[in-house]
Amino acid sequence: MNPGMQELPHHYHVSASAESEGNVSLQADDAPQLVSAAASEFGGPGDQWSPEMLLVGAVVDGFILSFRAIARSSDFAWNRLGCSATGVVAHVDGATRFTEFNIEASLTVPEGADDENARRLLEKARDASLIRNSLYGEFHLEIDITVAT
Amino acid sequence: MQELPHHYQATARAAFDTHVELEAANMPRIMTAAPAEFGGPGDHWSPEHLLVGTVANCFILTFRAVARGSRLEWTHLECSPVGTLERLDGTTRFTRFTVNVRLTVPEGTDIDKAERLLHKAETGCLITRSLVAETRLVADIVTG
Repeated sequence: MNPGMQELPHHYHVSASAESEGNVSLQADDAPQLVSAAASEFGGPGDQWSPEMLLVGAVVDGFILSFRAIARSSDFAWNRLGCSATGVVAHVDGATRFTEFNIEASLTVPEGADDENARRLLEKARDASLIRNSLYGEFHLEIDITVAT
Repeated sequence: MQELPHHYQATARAAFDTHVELEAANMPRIMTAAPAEFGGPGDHWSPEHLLVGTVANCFILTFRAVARGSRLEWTHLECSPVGTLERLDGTTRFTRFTVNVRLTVPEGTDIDKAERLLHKAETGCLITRSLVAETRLVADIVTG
């Protein structure tokens, strides 16, 4: 367990409010307010975070933080990690929902780092991510490892 | 609504010990970090809070569409879900969401209809349908 981790279960609270028109405001603990709106795919403005984009954001964010914790516990040194995730919403079995997530991870490591170990830790991060484990849908991971110059 | 399937893309990047920057096309950048429950600073959005937030957000936007389709007038909706994270069968994941909502409607509104539409929004939300966890709606409808 992460040494700074509080015992489970955890309870996460967020509040959101809206009028019958306009944006939705989201508030969580001491975090800055987040403004949200429907996705352009659902007729929204396309310039604010939508529920669908926030979910994909949570997936990619959770993946990075999961990797960081796993790399730390494995004493694996790395420089940067950039990830792009695409979530696919489709109609299956009579319901519209996310059906798959594709993550492209670009990891930069110091010279001499063990490439195979880096891949293994990234795959472990994918499998251990609690956001991933909370969702239906397939998860695919593409890995690119670069040595820092 | 555009035809399905839809593809939603977001990007995040981090260095060894910095905050994680979350971006998507045309949208304001969000600085994120691990939540206080995992040893993080507690003053940024975390993946866990984003997931709970998207449940709230999707519920409101789904209700707005459902109410519009059923011609229900309303003035204000607050949604405060609580997501419970625990370890079950060897896996740490969100196991349940209690979705607390408070809907304000004009005097004379059909309260039964409003309640029915709140439940319809709960079952129609594509985010909760994408989650493994159970969802329970706790609704409070007030007039004013």
